[in-house]
Amino acid sequence: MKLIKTMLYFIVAVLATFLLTSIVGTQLMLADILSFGLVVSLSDRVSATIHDIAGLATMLPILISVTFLLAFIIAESGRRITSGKRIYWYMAAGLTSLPASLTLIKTLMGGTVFAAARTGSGMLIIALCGLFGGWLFARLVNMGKPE
Amino acid sequence: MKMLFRLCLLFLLVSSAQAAEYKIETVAEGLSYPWAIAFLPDGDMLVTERSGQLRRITGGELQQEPIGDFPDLHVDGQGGLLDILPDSEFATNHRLYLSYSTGSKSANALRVISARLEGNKLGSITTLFTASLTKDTPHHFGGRLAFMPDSTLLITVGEGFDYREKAQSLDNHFGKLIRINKDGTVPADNPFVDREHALPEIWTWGHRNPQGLLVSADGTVWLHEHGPRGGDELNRIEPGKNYGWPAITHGVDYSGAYVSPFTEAEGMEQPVAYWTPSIAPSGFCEYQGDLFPQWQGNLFVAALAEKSVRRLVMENGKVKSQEIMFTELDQRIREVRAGPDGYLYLLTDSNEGKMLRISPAN
Repeated sequence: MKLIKTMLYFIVAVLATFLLTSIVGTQLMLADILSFGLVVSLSDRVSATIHDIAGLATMLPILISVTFLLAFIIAESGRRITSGKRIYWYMAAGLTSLPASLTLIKTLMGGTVFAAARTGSGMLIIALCGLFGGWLFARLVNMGKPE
Repeated sequence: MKMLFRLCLLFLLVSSAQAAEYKIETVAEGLSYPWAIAFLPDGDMLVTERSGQLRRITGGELQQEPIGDFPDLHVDGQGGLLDILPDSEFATNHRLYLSYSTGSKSANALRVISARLEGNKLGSITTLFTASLTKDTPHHFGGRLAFMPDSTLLITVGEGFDYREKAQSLDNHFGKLIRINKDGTVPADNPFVDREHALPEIWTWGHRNPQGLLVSADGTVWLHEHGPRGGDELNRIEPGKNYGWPAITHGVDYSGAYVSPFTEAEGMEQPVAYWTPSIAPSGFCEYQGDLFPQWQGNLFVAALAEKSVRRLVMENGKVKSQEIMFTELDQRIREVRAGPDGYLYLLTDSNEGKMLRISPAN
């Protein structure tokens, strides 16, 4: 039962991070489009955001799942060894893991698979989305139990 | 039933007519990712291999010894030795123009040199152009060359994959079509020579990764470019125009997200044709030979992903019809060129690449 609950919390954290990352990625893309002098209406923004959530729905959740799985295993191990607070370990894991895996993919493939990660500021925003995912997972796991 | 029989008969007749139209012969094999062909006045052919060698074919025989060395050549990913173009006065000056990637993994760029072919060596090497900025990706170099009727040299430069926004800025060479003189200087009538913060070599902008460039017999400049997932484009080029990437596109990013939600915008050119799903066009020619009169004036586009060559029948600057050819080879086609002998030549894209000659069946 505990394992199923943890898996459920993990899926919720992955999906929330995916939605956040996808939405942020679309807004960064539209900021570039605005900088070219094009006009982006609210309906353009909403439809582009929905399009990207659907378009990324295969690649990005898989990337986040694999990344978070490895990162959270490391975070849990670290927490047990040092007896630190779970929430800080998982936030740190979430913050660092997505930039790490996107950088690894760029090193292996020579290009960035998720366009928002091409710039330092974009990567920072993605890292913050990961931080939120780590925080959410730790909060869900911690619900109703003392640290 | 009778109708079905007639349709089958018609299909068989059309198929056999098409099958009888040409035959395919191997001119050379064992080429390492061949990229471009140059036809020399004495009947020899030169072939660039992306892995960094320039090879000569004499009397239908591939010579084992590669020609020359290329200063600061950087071979990685889609980069390496790319296009080759003989001077229009090659018979007297033996001058070649070559494009390749230079630099390092963390800072590479497209370079164009001219060199004199001296036997099996390259002499008097002069750097004519090096793209600014440098990049840290091994993708999207562009690299196609073509001469204009006024002997100025056109060069395609890709946007470097991770640097797509640079294609919409005139202060760099990414995602641009470049025009220079044969000595590397800038023609005085280039469209941005007097514009502040614009590089004077730029002729057109807003391109992604153009790997097809052609000046047709009537002087029209055609360019095709790879789109991302879909949106490969055929463009009719006019100086100073913005071809839109990445502000407008008919493709989406490899991830599935938008590159842009827009396919058109004021001040940005529409392609004459686009291909979705992508065919991955690379290599381009206009057929003006005598051996295939039915192909006279047609444009041929080599396609990597589609493993084909597209024959484009043009009318009034538009694509009237397209034929997908040579799929029976089941090979990625990097280059298609019409030889001065009237044959069509293909290069297949692999570590065991081939040069193939297309001749009439009879």
